[in-house]
Amino acid sequence: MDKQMMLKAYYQMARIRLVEEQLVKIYLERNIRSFVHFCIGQEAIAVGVCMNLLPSDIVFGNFRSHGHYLAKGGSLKRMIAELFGKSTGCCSGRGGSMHLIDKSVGFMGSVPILASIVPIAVGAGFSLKKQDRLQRCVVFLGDGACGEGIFYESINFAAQLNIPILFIVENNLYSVMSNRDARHSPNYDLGKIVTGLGAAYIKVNGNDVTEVYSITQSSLLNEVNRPTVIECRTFRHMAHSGPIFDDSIGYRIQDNWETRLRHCPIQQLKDRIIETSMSTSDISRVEAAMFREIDNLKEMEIGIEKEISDAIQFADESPFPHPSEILENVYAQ
Amino acid sequence: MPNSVLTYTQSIREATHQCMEQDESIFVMGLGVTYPNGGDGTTAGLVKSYPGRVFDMPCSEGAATGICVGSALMGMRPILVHGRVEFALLGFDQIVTQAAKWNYIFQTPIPIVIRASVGRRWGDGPQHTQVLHSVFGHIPGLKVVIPSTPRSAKGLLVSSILDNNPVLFLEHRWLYNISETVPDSLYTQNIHQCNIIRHGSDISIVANADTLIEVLRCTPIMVQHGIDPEIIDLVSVNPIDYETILSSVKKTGRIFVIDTGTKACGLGSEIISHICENISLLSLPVNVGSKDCPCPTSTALSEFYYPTGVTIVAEISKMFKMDIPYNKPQDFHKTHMPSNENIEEILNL
Repeated sequence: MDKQMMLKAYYQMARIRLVEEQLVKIYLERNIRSFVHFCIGQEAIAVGVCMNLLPSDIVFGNFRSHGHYLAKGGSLKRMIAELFGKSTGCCSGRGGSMHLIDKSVGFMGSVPILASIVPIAVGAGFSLKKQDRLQRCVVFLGDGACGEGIFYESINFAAQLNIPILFIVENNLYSVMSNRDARHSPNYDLGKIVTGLGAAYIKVNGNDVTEVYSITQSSLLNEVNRPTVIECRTFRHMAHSGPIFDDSIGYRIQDNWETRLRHCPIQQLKDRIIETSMSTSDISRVEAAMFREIDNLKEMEIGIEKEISDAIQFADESPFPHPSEILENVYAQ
Repeated sequence: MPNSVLTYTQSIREATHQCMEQDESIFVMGLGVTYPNGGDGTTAGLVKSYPGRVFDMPCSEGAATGICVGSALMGMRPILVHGRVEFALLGFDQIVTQAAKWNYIFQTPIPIVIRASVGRRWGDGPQHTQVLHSVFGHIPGLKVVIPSTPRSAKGLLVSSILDNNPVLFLEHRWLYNISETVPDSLYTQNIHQCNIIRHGSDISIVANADTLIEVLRCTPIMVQHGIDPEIIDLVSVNPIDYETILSSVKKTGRIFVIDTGTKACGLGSEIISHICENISLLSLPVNVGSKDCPCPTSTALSEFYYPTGVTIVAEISKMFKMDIPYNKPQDFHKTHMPSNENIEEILNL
């Protein structure tokens, strides 16, 4: 990743982070009544993958998909309006945080029943292949979803039909508050299983956006005839759900606060960008280059904050759906 | 356009063939659908006409259902075929929680047809004979149809394929060999409307699938005893056509629902409660279904599991305070073997 790309990645990741931090802040005071799962700490995966995609490529998500949706270019205004339950929301208030969609940019939908989205994505990938369309298909899921049989059925199906779909498994160590031992045998080996089913498998550091980006890039280029599972190790900074941190519960042994901050994908990228600026500068101007870069990133963040407050205002000013609409769209015309 | 006498199986196959000819986005997927007798004959030979559009699949019914949902949201029109409705249950999450809700949540239609064979046949036992339409009837966003005759099977399948919603198309295996005159052309049948098979003034009988045939078999007995039944083929379990049923019961004042499914939380209770909320009846409603137990395999027991002519005549006798003898005990063949009767012949009895 060159510096230009790193800045682009930083912008996307900082945007997701700032949006979620703002939502955390206003969640209780604004009575947001949409069950919510924040992805703070996991932004590098969404961004590293989606930076490889065109708007026409298609992506499916899960219950923790604010980041995927935004990284794919989904409308921020319509996402926040959806969380506020407004008629201008991306699902007109019928979905909420766990159901995001923006088909205009190829974000095809997200659903909370863990692996349920996986075969749907395979079906979409199957259609692309059947219709000789060149768009690529990606689905994001969590490590918890890997306990559900339909995930493996779907990989087998995709391999049997030679569908080049990317399964991005975000492994944040926990399924809700249970660690790996509660969900899998000590001998569980995702890589062995999925390669045994006919998929390619790569494990990456999901806290490093440049690694996620380049592995995704090479998978999209090279795997044109079989599915690929990319397992991204990462840390979920907040609780499984809700606008809270849950360190006090005591289950987070492997990823305490300090570990998470040390591996924070945004801070790491920021350090690298600043370092790059410094190394390309004249030795006498290193300090100035560093401050210039910090200012530059800060300015970026100020721009994002403005966008967020505009989006919140948009959601605020939008109307709620009318009770008379409750039966609309149960069936399509 | 001329007509032909077709079996229920042939009607389903012809509907599929004609729709696939019209619309390239339709494909047929299911275990063994490419076999010479695929889908119990309903997909026989289709793969020759439409190679690449009719295909076998892994034994992964859950994923297959999701794949249909994903294909549908990308503009294709999948038909998923299950030899037994029990296999559709492996895709229950996809049917109920994904397909049926997708349009409500995302305002994106999911036009899929899930065909599943249901109901009685000798030897099939507890896990191969369920009907389960009431389970699926409970789900908003899902359409559930159960055709009772070949003509209806063809028109309803065409309508199901053209429909922009997920449609569960339940085929009663006991009906596969019955025959009827069916138009050769591609035609539709209103997917939401009951079919009045016989007009009458004394009692409204709502039936579906094999129970409809059982009712038609008993009609001459009723008529001999001065009872003039209005016989309604239910057609759609979800949504139910209450308009037609209510207007019939307003006329007759009596309702008899006979269903091929088990009774608890079933179709009969649903229909009768809706009628009672709206109309005062002349006599107590009658609700007959299969016994509330798994279907036993032994024919010594399964003979008493399904509602047949014996039950129908007994209930009618009770309702009209008559003593109608039923001289045709249900033999093994009539109960357990697929019927090969002709609908027109039964109606002319």
